Amino acid sequence: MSAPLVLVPGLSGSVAHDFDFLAPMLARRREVIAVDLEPGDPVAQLAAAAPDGATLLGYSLGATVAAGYAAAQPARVGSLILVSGWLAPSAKLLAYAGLWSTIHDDAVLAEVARQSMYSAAGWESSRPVPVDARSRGLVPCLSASVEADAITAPTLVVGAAFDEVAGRRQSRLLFGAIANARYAEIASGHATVHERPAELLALIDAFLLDPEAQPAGSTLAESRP
Amino acid sequence: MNAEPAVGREPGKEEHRDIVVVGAGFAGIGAGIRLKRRGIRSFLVLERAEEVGGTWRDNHYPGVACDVPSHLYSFSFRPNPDWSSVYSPGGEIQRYLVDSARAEGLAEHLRLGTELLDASWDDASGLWRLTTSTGGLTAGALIMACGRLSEPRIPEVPGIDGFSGELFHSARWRHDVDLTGKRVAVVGSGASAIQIVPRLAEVAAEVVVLQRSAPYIVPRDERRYTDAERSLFRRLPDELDDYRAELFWKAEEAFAQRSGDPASTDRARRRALGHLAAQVPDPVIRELLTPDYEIGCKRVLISNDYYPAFSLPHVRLERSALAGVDGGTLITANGARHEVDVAVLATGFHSAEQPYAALVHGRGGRSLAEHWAGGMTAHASTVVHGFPNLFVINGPNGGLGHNSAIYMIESQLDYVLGALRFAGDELVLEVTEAAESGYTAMIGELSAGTVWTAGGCESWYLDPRNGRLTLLWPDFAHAFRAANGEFDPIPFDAAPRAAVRKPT
Repeated sequence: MSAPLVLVPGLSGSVAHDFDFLAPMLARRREVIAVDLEPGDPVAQLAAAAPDGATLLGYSLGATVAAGYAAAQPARVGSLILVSGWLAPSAKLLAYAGLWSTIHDDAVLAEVARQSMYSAAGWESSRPVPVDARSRGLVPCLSASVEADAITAPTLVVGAAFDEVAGRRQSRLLFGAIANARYAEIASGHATVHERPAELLALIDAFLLDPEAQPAGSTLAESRP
Repeated sequence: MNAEPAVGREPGKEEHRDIVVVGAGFAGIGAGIRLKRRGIRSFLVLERAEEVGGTWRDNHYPGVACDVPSHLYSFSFRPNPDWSSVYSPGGEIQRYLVDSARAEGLAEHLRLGTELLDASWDDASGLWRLTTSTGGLTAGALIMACGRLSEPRIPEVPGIDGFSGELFHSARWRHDVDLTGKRVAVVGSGASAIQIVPRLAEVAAEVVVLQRSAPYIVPRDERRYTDAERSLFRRLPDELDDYRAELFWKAEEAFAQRSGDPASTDRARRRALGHLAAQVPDPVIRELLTPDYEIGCKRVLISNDYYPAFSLPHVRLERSALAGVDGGTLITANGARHEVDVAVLATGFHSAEQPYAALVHGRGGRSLAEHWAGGMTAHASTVVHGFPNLFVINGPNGGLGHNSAIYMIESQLDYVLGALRFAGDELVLEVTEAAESGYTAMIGELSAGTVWTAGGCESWYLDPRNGRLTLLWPDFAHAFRAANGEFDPIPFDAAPRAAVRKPT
């Protein structure tokens, strides 16, 4: 049995929301541990829940949380998958975070967030963005940066070609900054987990089969079914 | 299309080809194109009919169409910007296949009107010896591309041979039989029946559908492509590639419903039953059309016009299987009698036991049918122990219930071409018994808990002899390509071909 896989969600804080497709499919082949995030210190929450040697799969904010943990305690992380994450928050991401404190109507904010998170092509896969005390409380965490130099685990960085929240450049910068990283890109908006979950699953399954099958620094070919 | 010229077919002298492909449907044409493009010249594609096309040549019943989007249900290496609609009619797919074979220059490699009668492995020469309806030949490697839904299944019920009206199978449609004003029975309620019934209802005086088991049906998101879209796909082929990828990965998501994941299954079932409720106002008819097993266990169908047909006054549903025929009357298992002028058998195909298996004899004269007496097995869904240099496309666990068969065929062709490259002209490749049984055990583990084995239905995906899932690949399509799309020589015994090489 391979190492357990720890799922770390984005701003929703909810594995059930962000990994609704992926969690049961990933659990077919390995133990999956869900870590819902609460306002406060999400890296500490992850540290408390992740068994030694686990693989961490973080999406969006969860990617910075997982990378933060992998940088702080490199010996405890087996391998790392960062989806739609960022090395440092871009000016646009900080402006997006600002919307969460200036828009007080939850329903309006949910629709604004949805417009940002999903691409035009993936709009049919979009769903309401959870806006509640938990997600609003997690917003300050969006400004975290990643200490990429300290990450030693074999890492798969998955960028989204049409990411208008974190920005594709930021995923590519993670790839540039993490020594033992390989990079794949999916044609989706920021919400890769909902727009192209099956393609993401294929990348994750291939990586977990042998994280270092593709050498550090390599880019994975775009899928052409 | 013209077949290859007869020159070079000298009487009395045994012909040889490095590779012989049996069947010229999607799989056989795909194989031919891949071989030709690789620069291989010594190959033949045998086809028993007088035209290529397979399924799409044989199935020309009214309403025939594909239920996988055309931009996905076509060769990745021959994109077609001109598909008329999301789900193209069967005739358009058939034209695509005919055009593909012609444009790729397959004519000189096609032998039409040639039926395989026997293929026997000859250990001494390391070659396959083929007997066909147009003569004998030898082959270094044999690719079976016979399809899995090729041989119509005719119900074996008493009196069927004595039916006094017209009776034919959906894949052998009799266009000479005028159905206008006739009383017509459709036996079966599967993928063909649901396409036929709405068209029949337009012309027949009465239609009765004999339904053994109700299918789940979901909405068909059908529309025609605009001129702007077709032009875009021609002008910017990348856009077509992106669109195909989008369709593929969207289709992949449906595997979750089959895997036994309760949340996805619930969503899929609600969608289908919601479609039924929206389209069938009468609660009695709706009840008759409600399946009694879990969604996905049998093929999930797509249609917007099948359910509404049952609200028409002249269309009826009999929820019972055909049990016998008495003159012009069809008798169902529940004792009902329906006197009709025409009976359309939409009863599917021989799938668990493939008819070609009896024709292929491996080492020691053992037939593939004997080897498969306990259900079809293979390694990588493609190669079989005891059958050297034999490759089976669309064979054991090579089908899908949720995505495009063409993707599977192309994955298998990648594997076969890798094997042929590895073997070159010299090697005879035979997969080990251990590899085949290991693969079969793996399939058993993958299929446990899926809706096909746990969904409470009898489907053509299962071998009726033992309930094993032998037709379908019980995982994502991308997982099939990852596992089986690349040839790996490790589980093979490879021996040099005997000195008695090609008869030249």
